Order: sequence, then structure tokens, then C-alpha cells
Amino acid sequence: MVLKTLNGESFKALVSNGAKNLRLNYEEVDNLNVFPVPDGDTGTNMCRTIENGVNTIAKLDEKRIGVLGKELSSGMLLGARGNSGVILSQIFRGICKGLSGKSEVNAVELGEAYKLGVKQAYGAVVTPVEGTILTVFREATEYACKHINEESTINEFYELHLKQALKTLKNTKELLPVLKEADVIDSGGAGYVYIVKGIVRYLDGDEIELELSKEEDSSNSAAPIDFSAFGPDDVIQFGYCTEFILRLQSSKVDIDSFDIQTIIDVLNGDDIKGDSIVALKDDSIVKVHVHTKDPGKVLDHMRDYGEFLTIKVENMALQHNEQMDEDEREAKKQKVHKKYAVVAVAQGKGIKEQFKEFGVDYIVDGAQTMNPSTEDFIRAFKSLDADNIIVFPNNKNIIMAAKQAAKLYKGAHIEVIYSTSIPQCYSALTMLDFSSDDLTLILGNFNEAIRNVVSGEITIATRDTELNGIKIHKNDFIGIVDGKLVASTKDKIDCLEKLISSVKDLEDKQVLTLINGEDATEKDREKALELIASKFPHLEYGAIDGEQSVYHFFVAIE
Amino acid sequence: MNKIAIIGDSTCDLTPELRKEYDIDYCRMIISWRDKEGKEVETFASLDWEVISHKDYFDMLASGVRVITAQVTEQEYDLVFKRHLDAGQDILYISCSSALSASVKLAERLVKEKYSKEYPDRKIAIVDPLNSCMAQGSMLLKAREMANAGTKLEDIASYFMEHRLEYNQVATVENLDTLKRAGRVKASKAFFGNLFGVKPILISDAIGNNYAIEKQKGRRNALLRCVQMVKESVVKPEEQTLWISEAECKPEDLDLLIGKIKEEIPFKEIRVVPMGPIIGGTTGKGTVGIYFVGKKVEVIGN
Repeated sequence: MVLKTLNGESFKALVSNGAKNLRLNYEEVDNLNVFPVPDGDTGTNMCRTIENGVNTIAKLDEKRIGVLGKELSSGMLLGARGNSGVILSQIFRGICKGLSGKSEVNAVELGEAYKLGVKQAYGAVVTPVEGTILTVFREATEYACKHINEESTINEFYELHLKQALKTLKNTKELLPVLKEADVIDSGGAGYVYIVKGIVRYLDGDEIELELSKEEDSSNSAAPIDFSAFGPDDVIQFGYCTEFILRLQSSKVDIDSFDIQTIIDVLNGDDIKGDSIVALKDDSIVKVHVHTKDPGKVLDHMRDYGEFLTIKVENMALQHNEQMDEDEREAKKQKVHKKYAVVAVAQGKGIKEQFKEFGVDYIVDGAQTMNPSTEDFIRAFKSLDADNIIVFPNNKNIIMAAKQAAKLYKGAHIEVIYSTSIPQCYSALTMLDFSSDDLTLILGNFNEAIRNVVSGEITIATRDTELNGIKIHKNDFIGIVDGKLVASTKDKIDCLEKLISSVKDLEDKQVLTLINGEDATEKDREKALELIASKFPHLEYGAIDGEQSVYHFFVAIE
Repeated sequence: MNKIAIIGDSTCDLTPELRKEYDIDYCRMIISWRDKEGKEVETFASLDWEVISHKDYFDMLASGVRVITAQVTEQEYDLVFKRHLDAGQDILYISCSSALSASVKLAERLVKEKYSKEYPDRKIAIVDPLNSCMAQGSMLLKAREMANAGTKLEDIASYFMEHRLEYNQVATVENLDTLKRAGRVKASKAFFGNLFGVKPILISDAIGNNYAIEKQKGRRNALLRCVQMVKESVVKPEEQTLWISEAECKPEDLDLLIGKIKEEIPFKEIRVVPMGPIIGGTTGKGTVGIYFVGKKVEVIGN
């Protein structure tokens, strides 16, 4: 099929096919991991991100590409997980901004929209790194835009885009030394190429037959509601969960300069007394989530600014029974207003319990190959009633999704701590102390604890490779210290000894905490502690049963 | 014989030598524990360590034995106070902080109901120092100096009532176990938790509680932080003695602490005494407290 122009319908088909093609190949993308550790998740993350967008528009029968694009973009934004997922969501956000207000576009207009995608994605990353999905997308876009004209077809645009994307992808190895050393191409770039390949496949008449995995989408799922949860004598206690999409009207407000804070202030005001407010503005579209006892007032007030596109009002006494997972239900049950609340990403039963004991209010499940999405964080924020929420992402690849959620959520002041490991979080939490009631000081103490701790990890190599001048054999134990490979041995305890010995200024360190994983036996733990006592007598030490997967040991050395 | 008897109690950390040199008496509190056979041992909380040595006492605490402490009894007050009243002396009693021990309340009642009636010609003043250990101890020493200089009893007492919060404590413990077992330090539950290597810094707050004001990771960091806190609040160090009470600290820890203090703050002198059995019994082996005159303490633990 040759398309001269692209409308909502065909754009939806293209992106869906792109998502399906990634779904077919995501495992391969997962395996493109610099470290030979079984935590590769880029393919999974990107897949879930784009699928969340595609699922959002699945039932939408919309011919105008601008309107469709907006829905796609917001679906991806909320579904974004992992750094590559967040960047992908920002790419599409930019593209869809460029498509906004249009019914259909030709190749040149599409190219312009793609350029906005470049701008948006680069803008969303604090320090853009070349040799990643950013470079692949940028060069592919620049190349395609340079070679098309008003006569070009959509097919030509995507073929050119793909041609350069493939070329740049190969070249990522030359741009990023870590990729070169590990002899892999960039995984995010590879994931993106699969999406474009899927798009081109569709244009070539090859529509992929595949059911995309459905994210649990609360707004679309029609779970049976148990009306008995709110009887004739019940008093409205939780209020109504009120969600709506408002189209700002130019007759009522100046759309471009309209500040979403106006709406947040009204929802927070005495009349409505809303809480758990999430309000987003994208051009003339405003999406709002608010809990209130008087939804009628919300609807009245909001018509000062625009007209409703959709409205959903649910009695939360019913909703409570339906949509919350266990954690959330538990969190809500004990909902007390707090000045400070802590959200931490963790995996492993023992670690989760320990973190809760330390005062973490909400644990976001962060299994190794399933990074939480922006929406998962927003769900965590919504379940808490706090003025300030402090977030520990505990993984480099989760920080962006956490930050994106922090930007989207308006119900509390949110601070995302730059914590990239469980030991860092552990160390910061042991120093948790809100008694100063001084946020700057509290954050300063957390950051100081994180700076002061050395994070060690011991796991099993998933392939033969050489890194940091160290030869690694598949199934050997490898030791990683603050993201750097320092040891590779046949024996776990040897590996631990090498790992600890490699720590810089070890003689200045005082405390070691061993967090053993589900694959470390009681015997392993005993041997490890014996080793520490005999070889590193100046360290005060203790052990925690973390029960984490993948990592036999985490070590925090402070 | 001095006209004024200066009296402390078991928390004042004054050694026999210091008490002799300054002519200071003290009222004994009581400590008890279960020995290895499970038998209850009860003895006076003596600052002469004649029943159990300082080292054995803190080793016992470190081994997990819980020591129960009890306030000064009426009998003991009768014994000590009357010894001086009968000898014709007036009394200045600087007690353990009222937030840590009810001893001072009992003493006040006894003075009002008993001693003032039995000895109408004697003057008795009681000072609640809102402090303990060598903060209380150094007040006692200073009280003797003032008395020797001819200051009147009521003037000495009012001096300490006015200046008691300028006596600062900065202390840290080696290990949280004794502290948690005894439960005598104010801090939220989350403050302690199950923490390896976390060292609280304890001050004597403005109402006389031992309050864990902050925590540090690692012994050395805690010791260095203590020095920093001394530096931040000390006033005229060159005119005063810095007192350290220690509970069988590792020599290298004391060396580090003293070395750092000498490096940072020009005290006239630094003196070390063994920490007494009452406060030490709740904070455990390795506790080290630093006592000096500084800015008025305003913090109240929550």
C-alpha cells in the first residue's frame, strides 16, 4: 500500500504494527546488555511503554491524526518505564505535538513532526548521550527529512528513516566506549529500529497478527462492581473519584497562556477540598483526577475554563474494593496525613520488609526485568496523603520514570533522590530522620549517606565477555562495585573478598551490611560473614535476609 | 571543716580522688542485675567500684545483662544529709537531672517535711541541674570553688539555677543494644530500628532528658561529629576544663577523640573519668560523654 498522506486511522495502524514488531523481538533487545547480568530489560520496557499507548487508542475510531496522536502520546507518557521507555514516550510526545490540530499529514509535514520529536526527546534528558536511541532517532529523522519533498510518500519517509536508523544503530558501538568494549549495539536504539521496521512492514502490506499484552488499565476495564460496599445507611467517607477531560475554550480562557495551576488551586480550594489531585495540560486538553466529596462543584467550576469531553465519577467506597492492588489497599487503609512520606522501589521480600520497618510508606515493586512505569509511581503517590513525597528509584533505569511521574503528579511536592542501588537506599534509610522538619536538611542527609556508601553486587555472568580488563566466563560469579566490574571468579565468597578488597579507601570505611539474596544459602551467608570478620576486622558488620532475586549478595560499605 | 557540705549522687561521675580533693560527698542510688546463676544481685551504685570493677560491670552489660537502676532511698538521704547536718554544716545538693531520676523529688520532700523541721538552723539548697555525669560533676566542683571563695549558699544555688543549661553534654554510644534494652533515651522508634553501625549522638536537652539528637554512621564519624558539636557550642574553652566520662572505651577511640579535640579546640585542660554505673548502665560499654560549658541548650527532645 502506498500512502500519500497519513491520517489518524493509518497512523494508528502503523504504530500498532511497530509495537507488535517490537513485541516479537523484545527479548533480543533485552539481551543487548553491556553487563553480562540477567537484568536486561530495555526491550520489555519499551514494549510496555508503546503498548500502553497503542492500547489507549485501540478502541478509538478517530480519523484526525492530531486527536489520535494526543491520546497515543498521553498513553505512552503514563506507561513509560525504563530510561529508553521514557525517551520513547518523549519522542512520541514531540511527534504528536507536531501532528496536533491536523487531520492528516504528508511526508514533509510528518518529517516536521518528527523533528519536534527530536527536540522533545533531547529536551527531556538532562545530559543527552550520543550513541543511544536519541542518536538513532535524530539521525534517522534528519536523513529522512533531507531526502523528501512535497512529492514524497509516507512510505518513502519511513523507508529513509529506517535506512538511516539501521546505519546509525550499527555505529552506536563507535560512539559509546562502553558499547564497544562489551561488543554490543545500543539496546534502546535497537528497540526503536524494531518499531520502525514494524511500521515499514505494514506499509509493505505485512500486518502482524498478534495480540498485544494488555496493561491493567483501570479506566477501560469493566470489572464487576460490588454495589453492596455502599449501603443505604452508609455515609460518604472517601468521596468520589472524579476524572474528566476538559477542552479549554478560547471563548473562556487564553489557551496558550492558561496555567494548569489555576485549576489545581480551584480543586484545592475550600469549596471543593479536593485531594489526590493530578492535573495535566496539553494544549487545549486538560486531564484531571481529583477526589472530592462534592463532584458537582468540580463540574460547575471547571466550566469556567472549558467544556467536558469525558467525565467519570465513581463512589470511592465501591472503587476501593475494585481497583486497588493489595499494597495500595493496605496503604489507603492506614492513610493518615503526613508531612513527609517515602516511596522506594525494591524487590525481594526481606528488603521490602526492612524498608517498611525503616519507615518507607509505599514500596513500588521493581523486579529486575520489570521496571515500574510512570503510572506505577503516580499510583503510589495517589495512595499517600503527604505534603512531601521522597522517592528512591534505586536503579539508574528507573530514575527517569520516577521523575516523569513527579512532574505529572500535582498532589504533593515530590523529590526524586538520585539513588541507583539498593545498598544506597538502605544506607540513606538508616539515616532517615524527619525530626528537623527541614526538607533541605533531610534531603542533604540522604544525599550524603548515598555519597558515602559503596554499593557492591554479586551475581552470575550470563555470557562470556571481557570488561574492565577482566575476562568473564559464562556462569562465573561477577562482582560489581558502583557500576564497575571488579571481579570474576568461580566461587561466590572469593568474589565477595575481591569485591570488598577493591573498594577505594577501604581502611576509612567503618560499617558493612550484607544483604543476601534468595540464591545465597545459609551456608553462603555464614561463610561471607566469617570472611568479613577475619579479613576485614576493622569493619563493623551485619546481615539482612534480602531475598532478592538475581543478586546473590548486595553489599553496602560505609 | 567546710561550712557548706557539697553533695552529689551516683550519677555525678566524681572519682574518690576528686571527691576527696574537693570535699564532696554523694548519695548512692541502687543497681541490681541477675548473675550467671540467675541470682539477683543488688548493690549501691558506688563510684568507688568496690563490689564490681568498672571493667567487669561494662563487660557484663555488653554481654547482654540488663541492669536495673533505682533512685536514692530515704534511708540513704537520712544517712548522708544527717551526717553533715549533725556536724553543723549547711548543705548544697546538686542532684541527678529530675528528668532522669526521681531522687531530687524525694530529696525536696524530705527537706521540706523532715530536715527543715529537725534542723531549723541549717540551710539546705537543692539544685536540679537538668544534667548528669560530669556536667553534674563539674558543677559540684565549681560549687566547692565558689564556697571556698566565700560565696553564700543561696548565691551558689541561684548561680547554678541560672546557668545550668550552659553545661553541655555531647555523648555517643558504641552499640545500640544496651540503650534499646534500657529504653532510657528519648528518640522515636524509627530512629533506632535494626541498624548496624548507626551511632546516636546524645545531648542533655533543655528539660534534662538524654536525647538522641542525631545519628552518624560508624564510630569514628560519631566521635568526630561530637568534636564538631563541642566546637559549635563551646564558650571560652581556654578558661575551662573539658571533662570526658567514658565507659570502658577502646583506647584508640579515646585517643582519636582527645587528639581531635586538642587539634580543634584550645581547652585549658582535658580530663577523663570513668562513667558511673547509673547512666553508663543505660547506655552501655563504649559510651563516651563530653562535658563543657557552652551556649545555653535550647533543644527539647520530642
